[in-house]
Amino acid sequence: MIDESVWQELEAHQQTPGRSTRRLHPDSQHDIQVSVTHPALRRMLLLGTDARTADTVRQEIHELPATRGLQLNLSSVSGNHYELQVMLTDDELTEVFTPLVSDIAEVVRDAPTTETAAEAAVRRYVRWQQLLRSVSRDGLSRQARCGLFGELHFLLEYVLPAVDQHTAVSSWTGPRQTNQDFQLPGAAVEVKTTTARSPRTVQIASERQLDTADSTPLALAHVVLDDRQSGLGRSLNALVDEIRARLTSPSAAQRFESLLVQAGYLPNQRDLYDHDRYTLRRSEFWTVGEGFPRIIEAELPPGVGNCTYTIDVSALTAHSVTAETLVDLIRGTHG
Amino acid sequence: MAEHDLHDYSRALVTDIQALADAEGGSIPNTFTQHVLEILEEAGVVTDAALAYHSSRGLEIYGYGLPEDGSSLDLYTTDFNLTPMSSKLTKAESDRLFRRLFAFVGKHAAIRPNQEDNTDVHDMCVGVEKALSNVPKIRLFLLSNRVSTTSAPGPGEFEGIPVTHELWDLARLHRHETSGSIGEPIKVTFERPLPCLAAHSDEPNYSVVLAVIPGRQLAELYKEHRTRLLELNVRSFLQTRGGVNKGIRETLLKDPSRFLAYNNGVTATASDVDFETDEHGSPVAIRSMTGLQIVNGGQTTASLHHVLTHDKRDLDGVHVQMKLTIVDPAYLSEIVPRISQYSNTQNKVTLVDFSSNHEFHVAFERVSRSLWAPATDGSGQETRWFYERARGQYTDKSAEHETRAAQRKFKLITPSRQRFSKSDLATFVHSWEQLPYWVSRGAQKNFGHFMERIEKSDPVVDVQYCKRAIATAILFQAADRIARAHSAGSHKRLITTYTVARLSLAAEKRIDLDRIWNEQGTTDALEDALDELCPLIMETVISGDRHVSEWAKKPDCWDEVSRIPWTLPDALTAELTTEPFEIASPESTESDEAEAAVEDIPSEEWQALADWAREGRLLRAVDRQLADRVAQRLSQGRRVTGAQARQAMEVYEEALRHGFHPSPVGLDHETA
Repeated sequence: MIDESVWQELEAHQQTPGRSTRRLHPDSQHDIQVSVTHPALRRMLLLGTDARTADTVRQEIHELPATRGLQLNLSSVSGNHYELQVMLTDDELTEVFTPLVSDIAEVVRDAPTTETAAEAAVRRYVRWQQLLRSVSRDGLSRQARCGLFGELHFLLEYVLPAVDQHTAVSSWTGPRQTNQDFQLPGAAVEVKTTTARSPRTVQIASERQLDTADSTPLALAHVVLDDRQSGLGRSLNALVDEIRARLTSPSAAQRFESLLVQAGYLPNQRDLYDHDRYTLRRSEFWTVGEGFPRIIEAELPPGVGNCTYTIDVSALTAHSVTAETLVDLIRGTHG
Repeated sequence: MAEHDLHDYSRALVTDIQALADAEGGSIPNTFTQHVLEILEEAGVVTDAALAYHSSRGLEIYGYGLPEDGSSLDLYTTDFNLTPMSSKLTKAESDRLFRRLFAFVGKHAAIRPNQEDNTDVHDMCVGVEKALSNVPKIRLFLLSNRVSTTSAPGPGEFEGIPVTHELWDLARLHRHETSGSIGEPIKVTFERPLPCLAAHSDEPNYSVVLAVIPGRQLAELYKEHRTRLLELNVRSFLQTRGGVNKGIRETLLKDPSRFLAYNNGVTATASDVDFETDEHGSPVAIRSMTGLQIVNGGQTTASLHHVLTHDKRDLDGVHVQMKLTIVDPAYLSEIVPRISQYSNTQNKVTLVDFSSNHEFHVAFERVSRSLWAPATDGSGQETRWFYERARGQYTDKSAEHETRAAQRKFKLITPSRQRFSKSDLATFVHSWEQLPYWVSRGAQKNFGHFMERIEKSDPVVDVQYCKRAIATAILFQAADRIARAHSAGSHKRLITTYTVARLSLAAEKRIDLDRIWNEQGTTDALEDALDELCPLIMETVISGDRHVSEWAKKPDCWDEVSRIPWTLPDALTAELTTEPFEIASPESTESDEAEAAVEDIPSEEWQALADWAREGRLLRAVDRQLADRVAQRLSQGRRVTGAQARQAMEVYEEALRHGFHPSPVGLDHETA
């Protein structure tokens, strides 16, 4: 993980024109560095790569759309050595850039080959581009705000009390677009949030969302909210601050900030989230197991994929569990 | 060269490029770029090209060229396709590629600070920055292995500098490869027929006319065709830069109307001339000329061009006398050398035939292809080394085999890694002969020098000669692999030639070349020695503040390398032969011309030049030091000789280009 202090150290590092760099993940076989140029103090993430890999990502880089404030370059260093440069070109994204760099570096770190490393870097970069585009001006959509509130609410109320800070924050995988929103050592949880008055159904986004192929217990949480403009409820900002206050470990706190950015909650857009207030109406929990009404990948006819479907909550009564049982699951002490 | 159709050519090209890239671990489009640039360099279309890749949004560049004579800034981009025949390069695509390439011109200053110092891209930004301040034009090249449906876009400009587009697509490359000559013959049409005076000739094969041609027209011809106009000009080939003569320049600037009186004019040949005739059928004016070549007066032409483009003079009132010989192309090779030779009064020019038909190449091809290289991989399969006397021979030969099986067999016996060209041979031999600074000057210049030396030494090309020449190739390739292992990167070629040269020097050329041939490889002791030497070479050749490829071209660099304190390891000393192997060592070929030119300039002026450059922070440090040294030597009454003299003259011209004003000189006489 890197934070602002790393950049500042690099910025203070030298007086002569040039680049000051620091290697990230020295244990990784890949050459990953953060760098600051002097005197312009431009921040960059650098990934060393070879000529053949450059060939494989070249075309992809060409086809990338533009993102204000970010740039991805491919540059030859000498002979068959190349360098991917992820560059911050606009101060407005400064706070976003740090989690972006950490995220890309982390994905690259464990890539098995130079080629997969570069491809992963480009792929992550594209993800960030999409994220930044989607929250470009007005911040998160109404639906995304409420989804984020639901996930954070679940983190604060059920996960943080059950496991240590590190595990809790790391288990929140929603922002990283995994199949479920929380992946704990003992269980996975998918959180569905809705502001509908009396919701009869839950929306399932894919055939993998409720798939327990890897035999980890899986729970489905349903958070029903009431949202009002400047009502009595809690704003997204208030909820975020509350979690921040709970995180005493600096590394957990930093990870949380990075995940917030990945969820599209950008530091410079905080003002946008003051007005909407949410009150919790109720939460329901089910465990997904034998007989649970769902679509799973293995049962689909060949050729069918990307299923979104709805489940009528009245069909789930038999699978309902209490909050205590859920916390046991999260702790991994269940059964 | 036999015609094989575009499909075969394109397939062979892709296969070759892939194989080359695999062998080097290089990028495929980069390898293609390098390959095409070598072809174009040999053809005199580009010079001093270097690869450097950078792409970001809306921008992509594969390399750049900064011709030594400052005539242009060249930028290259590439479109390489693994299935080139399945689509065509459309106008929209080529326009986009040109646009992305052109973007670099505007953005280089912003790209530079983001690069580590002395990387390929950093050097490119520095070079381009420097060039933009004084080049007369920018040339954008698009190299593609697909067939283009359109021609290159029309000219544009960048901050007042004209920008031209050159599109080298598959069809054009194929045409070039199969015809062996670049472009069409130069044709000149006069809007108003140029009056001329004809001398009657009884000989059927040629006739001569005299004319006076406007200086501006000649300068523009040079601007358009550059060295192609001087292809038959012996001197221009020997010193590829059309040097600017300071006396001629002086006259043009100060006394243009007297130019005709002071200057000897140019001697030209053409294969066909369209005349206006009088009632008796005698030529009175020239409407057009085809196949124009300036065979004498290259300096005059280049100087006119320089004054037009750099000094921004319109050359009004400047006239040049022209002696035009109409020669049947079949007799060119007989007549032109004599014209050159006889019209050069000052010193005899040996004519060097640079074509593939020179007897040396013919003999080398014949003998080398009769040799079987011993099998060394245990397969018992003896192989051949394939000397490509003319481009495309290998591909042709391979295509002659009808069946796939026969082709496979051909590749087995003649692996493509054992194919080498004329300019490769010159590289291998010159590395051994301790001329690394020639090798570093690029394929064309090095080959020109190689042929000069061959002309002088006139070696007997027999089995022994060929085996030893190929042994130098094996040695060079071994050094090349070692240089790669030491990450010599983009300077690998320079490092390799210097490593081989330094080894040859330390061993006094007594490395056992016969043994290398017999084993088709290098001994462990030899490999270890190269491995030890390579990093030392890198330290000296790639040093921080110099522009590496420029530095490597200088004899000073070789001086410094030869002084690296290094002696042969004992294991290798034990393997040396008693007698040295000489591959091609004629006596020195240093031209006396430069030596004379240096001495024509008083030592005070050299000193003034050095001081001027220091004050204005112009020229490179090495150049300023050279001017100092020359001034010092001349003032002590000593001579400046050989390469140093040539180098000094280049520095002098460079200084003129930067606006150095020498003390006034008297009349000048132009000879060639």
